[in-house]
Amino acid sequence: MHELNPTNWVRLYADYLLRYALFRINDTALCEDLVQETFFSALRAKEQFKGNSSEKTWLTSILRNKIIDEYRKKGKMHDSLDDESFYGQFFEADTEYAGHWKQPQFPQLWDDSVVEKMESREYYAILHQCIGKLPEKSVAILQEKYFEESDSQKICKDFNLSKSNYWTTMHRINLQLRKCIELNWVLK
Amino acid sequence: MKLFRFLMIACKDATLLCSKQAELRLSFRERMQLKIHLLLCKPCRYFSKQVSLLQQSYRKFAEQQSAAWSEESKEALQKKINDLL
Repeated sequence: MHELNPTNWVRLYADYLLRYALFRINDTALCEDLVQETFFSALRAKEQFKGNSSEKTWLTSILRNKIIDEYRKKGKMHDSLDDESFYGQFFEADTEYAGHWKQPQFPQLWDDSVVEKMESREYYAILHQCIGKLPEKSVAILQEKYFEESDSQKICKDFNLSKSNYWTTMHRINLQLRKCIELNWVLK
Repeated sequence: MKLFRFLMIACKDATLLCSKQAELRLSFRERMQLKIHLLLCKPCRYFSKQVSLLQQSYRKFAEQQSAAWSEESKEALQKKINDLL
């Protein structure tokens, strides 16, 4: 059984929780507030902690709900586009070229000089902005995969996704982020 | 002609296979379809290469995300928590 030790919370979890929030929300001041609120809510809900999960997992789930509230406020919970309109942005629909890239959407060559800078601070800042434009669920999945490093089985279970829903979601993310990076970074 | 239809796919499906490939192993047919499509289609070759670069960068992005609390603000926060106990 796990126990709560609020006198150690900041030392043990403040940095982790802040990094967790920053992955999803590109605003340090807001994220610091959310982490602070997380600790206060956790104190108020102390009695409800049953000890089934670790302190860290419990605090993270409280923070996650606060992040979701932020996305809800901004109306960015879901991808508002159905598959047809989403893919229609990138690919021809009804013509004899159905399923081919629309000409203005052709991926462009990223030269070596650009690729070499994909570890620069500037690049990550743009990537962060691009991730910030995704709907909540996409960012949550991306975070579980790359930040929490969960395997696809766990992600499917947590988000109640079939295998094929999972990789089509990843595909949407790839299409959106690739385009956003190309527009805002490669071609700038 | 049958073989042609068996192996030819449009860009939309080819890019889907690129994303799927990162998550699970493709079937033999899917691998052939993707290989042939990429041989013939430059935009999809770019897409495929760039998506694998992006995937590496998501991982690095998650790792290097650094938190910026100052020691003072951490101390102040812990004090507030202690006061509420």
